[in-house]
Amino acid sequence: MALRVGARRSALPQVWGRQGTLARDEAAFGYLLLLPAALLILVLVGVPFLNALWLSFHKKLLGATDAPWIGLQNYATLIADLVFWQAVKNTFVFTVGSIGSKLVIGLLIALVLNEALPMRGLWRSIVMLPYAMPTLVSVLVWKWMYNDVAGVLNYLATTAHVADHQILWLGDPSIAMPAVIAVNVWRGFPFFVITILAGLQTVPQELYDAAKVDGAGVWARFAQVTLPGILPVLAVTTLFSAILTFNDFSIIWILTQGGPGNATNVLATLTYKIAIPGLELGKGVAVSVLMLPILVLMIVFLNRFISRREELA
Amino acid sequence: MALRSRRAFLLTATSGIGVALLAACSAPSPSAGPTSAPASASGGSRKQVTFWGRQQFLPESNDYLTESVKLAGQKGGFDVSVQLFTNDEHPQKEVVAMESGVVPDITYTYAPALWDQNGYALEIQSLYDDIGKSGGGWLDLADGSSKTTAGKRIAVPMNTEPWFVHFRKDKFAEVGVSMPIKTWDEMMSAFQKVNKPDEGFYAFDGQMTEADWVGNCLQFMWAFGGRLFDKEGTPTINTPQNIAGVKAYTDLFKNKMMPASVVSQKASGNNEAWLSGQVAGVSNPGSIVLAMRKDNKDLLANTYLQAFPSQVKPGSFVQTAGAATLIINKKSPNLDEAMQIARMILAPDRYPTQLEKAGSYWFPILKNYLTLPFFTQDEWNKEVAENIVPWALPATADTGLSPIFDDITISATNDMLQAITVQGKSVEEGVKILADAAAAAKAKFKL
Amino acid sequence: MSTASVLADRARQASADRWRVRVQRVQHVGFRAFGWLLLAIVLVVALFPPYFMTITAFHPPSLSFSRTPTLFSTDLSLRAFAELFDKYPYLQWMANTALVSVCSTIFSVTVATLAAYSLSRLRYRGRSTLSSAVFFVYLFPSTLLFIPMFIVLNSLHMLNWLPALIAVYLTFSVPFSVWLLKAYFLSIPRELEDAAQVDGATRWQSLALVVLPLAAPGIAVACIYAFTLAWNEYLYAFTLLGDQEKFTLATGLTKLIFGDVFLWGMIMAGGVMMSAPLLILYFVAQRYIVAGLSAGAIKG
Repeated sequence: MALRVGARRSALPQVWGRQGTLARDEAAFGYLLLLPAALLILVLVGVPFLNALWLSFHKKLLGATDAPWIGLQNYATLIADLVFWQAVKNTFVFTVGSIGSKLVIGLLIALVLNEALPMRGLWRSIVMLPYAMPTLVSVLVWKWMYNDVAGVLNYLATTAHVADHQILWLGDPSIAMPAVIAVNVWRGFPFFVITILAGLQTVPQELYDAAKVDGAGVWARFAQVTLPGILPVLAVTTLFSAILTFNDFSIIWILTQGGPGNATNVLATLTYKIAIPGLELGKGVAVSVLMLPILVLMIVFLNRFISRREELA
Repeated sequence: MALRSRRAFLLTATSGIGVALLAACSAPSPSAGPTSAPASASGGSRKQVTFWGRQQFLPESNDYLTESVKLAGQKGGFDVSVQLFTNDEHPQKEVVAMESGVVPDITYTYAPALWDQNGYALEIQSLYDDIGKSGGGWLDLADGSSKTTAGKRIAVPMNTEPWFVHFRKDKFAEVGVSMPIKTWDEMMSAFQKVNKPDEGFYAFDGQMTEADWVGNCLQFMWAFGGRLFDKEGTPTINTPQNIAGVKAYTDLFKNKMMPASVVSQKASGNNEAWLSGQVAGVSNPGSIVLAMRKDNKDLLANTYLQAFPSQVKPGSFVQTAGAATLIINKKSPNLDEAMQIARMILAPDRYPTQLEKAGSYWFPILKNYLTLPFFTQDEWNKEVAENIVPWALPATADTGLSPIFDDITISATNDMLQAITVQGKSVEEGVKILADAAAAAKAKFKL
Repeated sequence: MSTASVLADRARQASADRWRVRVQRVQHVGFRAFGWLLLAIVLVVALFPPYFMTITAFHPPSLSFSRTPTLFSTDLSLRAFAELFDKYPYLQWMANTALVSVCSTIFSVTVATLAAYSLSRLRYRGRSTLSSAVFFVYLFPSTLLFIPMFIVLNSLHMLNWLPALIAVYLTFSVPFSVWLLKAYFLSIPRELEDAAQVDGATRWQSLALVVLPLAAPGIAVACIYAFTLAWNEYLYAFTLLGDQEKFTLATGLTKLIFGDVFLWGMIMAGGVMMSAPLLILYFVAQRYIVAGLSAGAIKG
């Protein structure tokens, strides 16, 4: 079936608002292709989400058949609860600490790997290792390494005379959060390395040469050529990773279950604790819903960044 | 990228996928259809009865239990489906099951109050009586593990799982203390003598979280005469006896007679402390003894098992014990079949072997079986049967099964101990946290 | 100005230049040395946990918790692996995980390819909103969804059924794949498609014969990521599966934790075997993964 294309179709892709069967054809085709994905998401995500939202407005105890409407009471109780605010604080500390570290380490390593090194491919593979291992496995390995009695980290610390007693990596409230962040950073920094590396490779060599001619030193070249060049990549990667870190549940749950004493309790683990062992489903879901505004803000930012650059493409 | 490398990659990828699919297909394939709700039959007239339980540490125990259930099915002419969950999964599975209404016909659970609270527990006084008769009568502690505060008999206990106080015979002997330790004062002075924090060796390891709370902190509270509930089920937590008990427990930590890590230890913490030779005493159910039987017979030879000496009544002891119980789903259409399963598990020709297969985890709850050779001839089983079981009582002995108890042991106990040992609050303030949580639970469950 | 002062100026300038060049060279060497040192440290840190996992798996500790862990040992044994295969249906778990991962990959990449093409190439009202919506869904926390998901699937009697798990996995692999593939499609020049249409190709033909072959690397990357996401997933598998025979590797691994007893030897052995396929995949397809990660970030 030949399209009645020929002369009528313009080669310029940026012509909007065309009337006629051609545009309608295109729209129909567009919707058709999108249909499977949209249907899937509507059913498998939309329905549970709405269900969850509905739950949050009711006093729903586990197994209870009656679930009276209580409006915003779940939310009110949470906002009045110190544990909730501590979870909020912990979530931010966890997210900002992880992202900051991943960004810095990722950037430094990407800069190093950008140089002409021998066996660069091998180093890159090794750097990818934490990212490639299943999360569950790597978290369990770290849990084993952090063990205060038989853990290898304590063993190394005492034999190297860095510490004179057992360090309670996951047991001391002041060390637990950094310990958990460390695992998240270990797992996630390769993502930053790879994306920044790719971004570095798009910065034209001419800019560096020009800077060198102007007499710029290493630091100046970095600040004036490299950084501006990879800023978009940094922004997108950071935001994306921030969203995933914000949502992260399994790393903290497996390592500390939010302890010791709520020191590492983030919103994701708080939701789980309230809903399952605590049996209060409505209230547990309400915690998740409270996470949404911040998530939405971050996603909107990210999306704006991406679409602005799409338009340039 | 070069065409050749792309093709090569696609080739490897497709063959990889092919291999994976082949592997998936050649391995015994998972059942093609979804599981239906327990009520509906799969095309025939045979009933399908589901049994849920806890996965025991020793696989032989799990296998034997599964076999008992299947045997009941064979005899009764119905199909069975057995699912055993680990410690972490089990509570969540129960929670999710009750929420969704897909509830097994019969379940082996540690949370009978929860099942009752949500309307799933059948009253089974006659079943209880029958089984009791066939076993020579129930031990006293079966009563508190099987009926609710209101007096409804809803559970059939399958065992008693007592906590044991483990003492390092050898280390205590070095400082001139011999076993058994009979009074509270003796125990405290023994702890003082054996404690050597500079050498990294401590008197006792008791967790300061919700883990193992029933076998540690609660026992200290009982030793001082404190109770959690009265007979009507009203919480009686904020009392001088309980405060004294919690104080004695947390003081051990404050006076450096416990390893520093207790403030964050979970259930495996005291196991690890004991097995690594760090402490002279722990309180734990059978997993440590089992671990030693498997891997460390030297340590086992130096272990003595006994109950906790009472502080208020010198010469007597206190001991908490859990119980695995069977609950039958009130709403099940297979009530008769479920009862057959219960009878089979506790039948005189099955139950003794089940106890043996479970190693030192399960102890008899019916009188006839206390004199089994398994419990009279093994040194450590004997110590448990003689020193511990006679004093053993479930945590809810006074009041019967109570959802308030289950609720506060989830995190309020943790909050209490953390407040005292980590956040520097006073013992009174800590105990109040627990008391408040109990009051809140009482309101939550409308009791 | 006199010639002498001009010459003097130039000489001073030259020596200042030489000085600056020397400083810069030292700086350069310094930075490089620092960079290599940092790289070395990071490589060791990245490598140590997997190394330790492997050592523990092949030299299983007894339950006695020695206080001196083995860092290196020639005394290797396969005891942990043997026990794992012996006591648990590990091969079955591996087969289940492979099945679920492969199927969810195939479905999600197919659906995502169509959606991504639509969102990147075709014009219609609401396109950018739909695009954002797809992305939004990916970032939804699974802790919010897993209980209602259980309830919904339960009412459909689809629990404990691997195909249902595959469908659930599509909820995160589809949005992610759409995002990734959209970037790839955007990087394919429109002119090629225009040329095809001038030659008389239908939209379907242009999609299948022109765009897809060019996007093949991107599709390969999307496949790898979707596979990884499904292989690793834990929370949904744990909630929605019941029978031990239906377990995936992630849920199977947690069976080795008995409350207060962690069977570290077997856990590490299980971990080695769960990681190995992924690590091999990543090693082989390294270049594509890098391209995929970067496409998303730099091309948006």
